[in-house]
This record gives sequence, structure tokens and C-alpha cells, in this order.
Amino acid sequence: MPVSLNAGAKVSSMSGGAQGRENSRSGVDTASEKELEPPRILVVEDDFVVSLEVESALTEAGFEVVGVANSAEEAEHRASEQRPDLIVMDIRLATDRDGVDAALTIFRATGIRSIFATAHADALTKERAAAARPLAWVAKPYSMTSLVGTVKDALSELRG
Amino acid sequence: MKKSESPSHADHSATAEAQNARPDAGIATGEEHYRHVLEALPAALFTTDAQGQITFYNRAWAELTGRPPDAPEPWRVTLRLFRPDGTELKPEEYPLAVTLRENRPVRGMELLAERHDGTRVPLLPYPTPLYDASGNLIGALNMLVDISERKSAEVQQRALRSELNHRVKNNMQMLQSLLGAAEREAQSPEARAVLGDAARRVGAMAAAQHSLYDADTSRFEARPFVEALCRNASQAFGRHADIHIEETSGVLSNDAAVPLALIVNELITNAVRHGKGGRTRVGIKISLVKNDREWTLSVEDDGPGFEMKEPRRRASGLGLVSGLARQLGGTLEVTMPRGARCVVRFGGMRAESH
Repeated sequence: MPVSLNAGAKVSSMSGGAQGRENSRSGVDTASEKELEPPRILVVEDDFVVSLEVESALTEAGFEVVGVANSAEEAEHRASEQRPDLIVMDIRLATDRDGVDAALTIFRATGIRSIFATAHADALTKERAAAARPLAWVAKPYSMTSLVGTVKDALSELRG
Repeated sequence: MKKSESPSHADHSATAEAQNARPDAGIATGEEHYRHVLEALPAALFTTDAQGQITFYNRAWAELTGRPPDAPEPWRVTLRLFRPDGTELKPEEYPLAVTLRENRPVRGMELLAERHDGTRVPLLPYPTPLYDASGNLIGALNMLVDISERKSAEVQQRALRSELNHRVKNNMQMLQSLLGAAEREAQSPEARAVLGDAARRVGAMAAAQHSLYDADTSRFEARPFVEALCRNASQAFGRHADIHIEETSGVLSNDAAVPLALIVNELITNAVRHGKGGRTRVGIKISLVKNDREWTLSVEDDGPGFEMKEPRRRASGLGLVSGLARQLGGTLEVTMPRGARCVVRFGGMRAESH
């Protein structure tokens, strides 16, 4: 009897993590409830093993990882659906369109900004990404400590 | 064999006369000016008649061919030409000979020219037909561009790539050895098991790395890749596993190497752990084939099968396989025809080169 573990984006995932998971929330919160809720982060990273580490580090730091996307299209879909506070965006993705493309689309549609992670933060890439108002640039490979620190700084900036 | 436009001798004299009649003309023309230009050209240049006899050469060409200062005029010399692989060209294969015979320019033909002192210079020739006013072929010009610097840069780049590849392989080997040593020195069975698993994962990645950059810098062949993974697994599990490669086909993008290596390692490890069913060894069949745009990886054992549950862990076992399958843009399916059969189907952009 065949049992299918469909690892595609739509079906519910294998475990408690946010991989490919749809996590809907109610839209109504009072102001005080909102403050008590952990900041919500979307992770965009196409390397599965790295994404496990990022998700784990962010969750341990007290954030809520609302999803892990591994393509520009999935990132755009999740961002509009989940409305995270910010996005940790890997630039090089397995598809044609990269993290900068996704960040631009998402920012224009929702105003959500990203922390960019990349091994090559060249001037041209930064120029392309400027229109999405990046929160920060993190050099890959990064330590989880530095990532969490960058996320905290970015959240402070967003709160104003 | 005709060309409508032509820089002919007759035309130039006419223009020269007209120019000389107007001494305040801004742009210099005339045969003497052109001669100065050609002499000053930093690239070696010569012209021939339609039979290939040299009719003009500039200073750079004389230097290239090693013309001694006291050589008699006319200095007519033919350099021996070689392909980059060292084989010599026959006279009828010389780029200029081709140009004169076939009445067309020749481009992109890298050569080595042997000078009279025996040294060889890497060149890129630009033989180009010359025509008269009526469009008849009257000869050819050839410009020889010295590409020594480019060649030495290519050699340097190859050496650097080779060094990097060697370095990466060495480092992975060291990682595997460090983990293996830690496994042997560990006190508790759990620590040994965990370190053993980690060592085997690094080993699988190292085997994947070895399969890369063989003939192609962006892709690798499925067959030697699977063979390397199975060799690695046989070494890891020895007499506990009997691994056979059923079928392999196709060429994959480098991006698929490590995910596939980790998937195969995890599935084989599972089979060894749970597929012996009281025996001393488990039989494992593996295949990686391409059908149209889709790939199918299959790892099947001859054990008792197992009860499929949602994997609790994502960094190991089927949880890891599942996540890596998703990274490849694919799915994992488990069936139990005899023992356990795990199939990962993937395809499209993440498997092909993009």
C-alpha cells in the first residue's frame, strides 16, 4: 500500500516545522495582544539543511517563523498570504528569478522589507535591491548569532 | 567572387591628388599616410597577392618573424604553424591559404607560430580577402594578434581551479576523518551512532564532490556519480549491505549533486538499519534514470519493509530525504513491493543546468 510523503509546497509537511506549511491567522488582534505576539518572519532559502538551522535559530530566539520558501514565486505567495513583519531573503535561489526579484515584488505589493543574505553582495546587486528598501545585508556563510542580532536590529528599526 | 566595395590603389591616388590640391584639408590621406599608419600598427600585418606571395609587411611583423636587421630585401619568410594541441598545420591549411582559396575571411583560429629561433608564439590571425574596384580577388591581408597574455591568464585560471578543487576534496576528507575519529573515541553508543551518521553524510558529500568537474564544469553524468556513491556506501557498511546499480542515465546539473548524495546515503543507511530483518546483510538496488524532463531515483531493499509514519525529525532519515527532495523540486514516495522502495521524482530547472 503506497504511502506518499509529498514534499511539494502544497501538502502539509512532515513535521512541526514551517517547511511548506500553510499557517493562517485570524485577522483581528487588539493592540495589546499584538505586542505580546512574537515577531513573524518569513525565511526564503533554497538549501534545505541551511533552512533548518535558520528556522531553528530564529524560533529559539523567540520569533515565529511563518514559512520557509525556496523559490521567488513561493516567497511572493507566502509573503502576501502570511504578511510577516520581515523576510530573511537568500538572494541566490534555485529558480530564474532571484531573491532580489522576489523582494521587489513583495515590497511593491505589501511594503514588507527584507534582510538580504548572500555570498556575493556586489554593487550591482545592491543597486537592484535598493528599490525594495533592504533592512540589512548579511554575508553568507553567516553565524546564527549574527543573523539573530541582525533580525533584532531590523525589528527595532521597523518599530521605529 | 566579386565584392562591390574595394579599397583599390587607383582610388587612393585619385583622392590623394585631390587632397594635395587643398593643403588646408583637415584629414590626411595619401599613400604615405597609410603607410605610416600600417608601420605604426602594434599588431603584425602583411599582405599577399592572389598567389600568396608577400607584397607588404610592417615593422611589427618583421619583429614577430625575427627578421635580422641585416637581412636582404625582400624578407619573405613563412613561419611554421601549429594548432594549440601541438600538431603542425599543412601549408594548404594555413589560414591565409584558406582565405585565398575560398575567398573568405578566417576567424577564431588560434595558432602557435614557430619563429626562427625556435620559440612559439600564440597568435590569433585575421586573414581577410582584398579586392579591386571590379570586385576581383587580388590578394589578402593578414593581421596577427599576439595572445600570449591571454594564454598565460588561461593557464593560471586552470591552475587555480585545479588547486581549489584539490583543496575542497582534501578538506572534506579531513572532515570525514575528524568525525570518524570522534566516533571511535566516543564513549556512549548514542554518541557513536550520531557521529557515525555525520561521518557518512560528509563521506557522501565528498563522493559527490569527486564526481564534479570531470569533463564539464556545470554538469555531471549520473552513472559515475551513482557508482561513486555506492563505492562510498560499500566502504561504510561493508558486509552488511549488498548494493547493486540497476540502471542509470542522463546528465545532471551540479546543484543536484549534494542533495542526491545525501538522499542516497540516508536511504541506504535506512535500508541497512531496518532492512536486514534478522539476516546478516541486506540487498539494495539503486537506480537513477531520466525520462523526458523528469528524473527518478529509486532505492529498494529486500527486507521486511516498515510501517510508514510521519517522520518526526527533519535533519535525518526520511525527514531529511523529504526536505532534500523538495529542494530538488521533487517528491518522495515510499512503497513496499517486497521490501521498502523509496522513490524520489524530480525534474525541471533544479535538475538541469540553468
